[in-house]
Amino acid sequence: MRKLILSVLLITLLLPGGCWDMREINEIGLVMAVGIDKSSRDPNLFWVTVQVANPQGSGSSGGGDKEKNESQVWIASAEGRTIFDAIREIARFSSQRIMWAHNNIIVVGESLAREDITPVIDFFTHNYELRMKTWVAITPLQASDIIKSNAGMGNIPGRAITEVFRFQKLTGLGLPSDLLNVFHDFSDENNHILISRLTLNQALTEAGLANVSENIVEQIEISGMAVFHNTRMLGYLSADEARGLSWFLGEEPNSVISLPHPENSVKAVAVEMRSVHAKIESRLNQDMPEFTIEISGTGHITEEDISSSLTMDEFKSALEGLAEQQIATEVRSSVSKVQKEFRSDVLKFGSTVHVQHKKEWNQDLKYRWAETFPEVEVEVVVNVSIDSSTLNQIPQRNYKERS
Amino acid sequence: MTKVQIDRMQYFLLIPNLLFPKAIGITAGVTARRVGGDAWTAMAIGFAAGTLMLLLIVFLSSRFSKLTIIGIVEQVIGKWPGKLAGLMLAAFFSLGFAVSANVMTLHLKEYFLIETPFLVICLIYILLCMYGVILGIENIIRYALLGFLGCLLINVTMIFGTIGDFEMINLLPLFDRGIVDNLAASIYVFGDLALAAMAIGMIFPMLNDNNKAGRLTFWAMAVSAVIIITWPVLELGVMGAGAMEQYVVVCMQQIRCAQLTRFLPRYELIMVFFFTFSTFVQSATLYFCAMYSIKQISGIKKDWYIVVPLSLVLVPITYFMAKDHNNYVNFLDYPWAQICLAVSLGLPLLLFVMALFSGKLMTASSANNSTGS
Repeated sequence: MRKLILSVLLITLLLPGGCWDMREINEIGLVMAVGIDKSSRDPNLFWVTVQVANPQGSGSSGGGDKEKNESQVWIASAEGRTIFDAIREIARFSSQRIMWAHNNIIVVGESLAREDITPVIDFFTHNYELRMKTWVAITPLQASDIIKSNAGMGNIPGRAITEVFRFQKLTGLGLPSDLLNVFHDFSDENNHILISRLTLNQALTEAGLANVSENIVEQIEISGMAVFHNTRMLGYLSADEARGLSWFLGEEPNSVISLPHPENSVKAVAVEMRSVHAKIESRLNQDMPEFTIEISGTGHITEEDISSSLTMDEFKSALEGLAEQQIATEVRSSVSKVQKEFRSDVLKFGSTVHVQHKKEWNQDLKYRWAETFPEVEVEVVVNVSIDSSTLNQIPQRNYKERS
Repeated sequence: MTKVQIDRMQYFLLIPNLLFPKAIGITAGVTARRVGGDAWTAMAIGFAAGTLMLLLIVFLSSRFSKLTIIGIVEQVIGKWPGKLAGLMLAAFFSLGFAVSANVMTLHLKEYFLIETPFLVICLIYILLCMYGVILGIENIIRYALLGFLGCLLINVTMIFGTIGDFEMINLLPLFDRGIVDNLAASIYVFGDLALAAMAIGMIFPMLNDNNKAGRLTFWAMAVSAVIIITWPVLELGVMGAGAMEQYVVVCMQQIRCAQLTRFLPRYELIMVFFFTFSTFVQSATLYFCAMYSIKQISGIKKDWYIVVPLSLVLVPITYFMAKDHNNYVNFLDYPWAQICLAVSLGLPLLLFVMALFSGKLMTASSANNSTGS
């Protein structure tokens, strides 16, 4: 009997424990995307824009009365002395309680990023609701413009942006940045931050062919990367320059390169690179580090814009040389820009020297790394093996031309 | 006392449960704040040293196989030193319980029940552990199997969820801060090892068959070391030392970074579910050891007479220890780790040396042999 009473008491005590934190699903506003800018009214204030899912909205694809169509997202903005302040301000007019657990992306306006990104990183890593795998992007526009835009396929733009990030690997044009790797580089003593650049591009819908002016829509696109030194953004790498870095900093970038055709340089051959691996080796030459970036990967011929008379072996061999040359050029160009123009070690060279020459790094190099990094020699070695011509046994032939 | 018996498998499974809950997150964070990327090597050194210390306790307990560590002190040094050791261990286990309980309360308070008053969380958890103690140590230890399976499941899911973001470079170079700093930082592991060692010193007489107990303990420690060191390795590899240093509950931060496919993008609650059983086993065992220490020195027969007042003492200790989580972590940093090191190394070594020189080690051994035959 005593045990029964004790059990009942314990169970009843356990149950009300959750009441304090009870949140009914219909009272929650799920944030899908958030944009942080400096306020145009007062540069000391933050301007926060949230895109909140509106399950009641029928959206353009929903059925029912079209006149009553309501957007599937609700956009709200507010300003505050801190980001949290601004979010609490939104709560003053939001009919639902803001919840961050399903946020997909944090967009930061360039003006704020150029000043200091610390408040953004701190707020979102401090927030227990937010996932560390949330995407982070910098935009040269106002972050609020990105959040308000109705871009991408699907009813919820925040979700569409996530998919754009997810498929970025296919293009290889940059390194997708999430809160985890941004925070990692932010808190690391050697590394500096690289964040994807997000912008709006005008695209023509298929329907727009009939009436061009009315059917141009804005599309969100990832285009290049923002380079930081410590907490401040310095500038951008273009999409091509970002690809130069992704060859050796990315996780198996899956990029398509267009090479001049070996028999007619005006025409192109598309080679899809897969299984790209890279390693960075460092050596010390009279206390000055030198680096070798070794990249290897397999190429797959996916498009030939002209027929040829080469054998497959000759064709592959010529393309291997051209691919190696192109990748090396892209890498050298990007590394040079980061070294000479930004002088910011986003390449993890400092970490590499730290690991490979611990004693020299701890005794001397880490104290003069900021001055040393822009001057270090970098050698790029690329080894491409074209393993597949994708379905074809011989290069594209045109027997009529031959006859 | 010896009516209660635990079998060898339960004993084997109890050891990882006594070590796992705090070590994977809180200890890993404290160690990272000291030696950065060397946290995992420092913890591995701590485990190696701790295994030797635990084996020494098992050796002593095997020699005096019907006695708890308090009984051994009484036999080797004397009755009153035994009482003093019992009092000291009661205080140690009570503090150890509060440290262990706050591993759970902080997980809940910081990530799930933000608005629930901290006192309510402490109260409910202490009542739950009190219920376990009333049911008895055998019942608590039965949960060790669930706890151990939970530990394995958390490890597997965490590895799958974060391996994609693992960067080997974060773990290198090895011994970056030097061997001396690594050795110094390894004492933080004793905050966990000492609890397990002293608890083993209390529970060992309940083991139904202590044949080759040393070997059993060694393998239990080896398994524990593997499942625990996996965490600082993955935490460093995924978050890096800089981010790891930032947080109170590092393992939850690691889980925030994990993504088990696109369809299960977060699983903090699942992690805490797996984790609950081993934390409960740890906390309730320490609660039992505190109660049993008092019982041994006071001679009180009814557990209730100790459990109720002890609970009334444990509530404010637990509450005030972690009401401000920074104070809790500072306490673990200093003086808790140092106290644990002193207790877990000092007491067994003192007993071993005194028993050896007084000849009681050999007497106890032959007494055991004759009882055994």
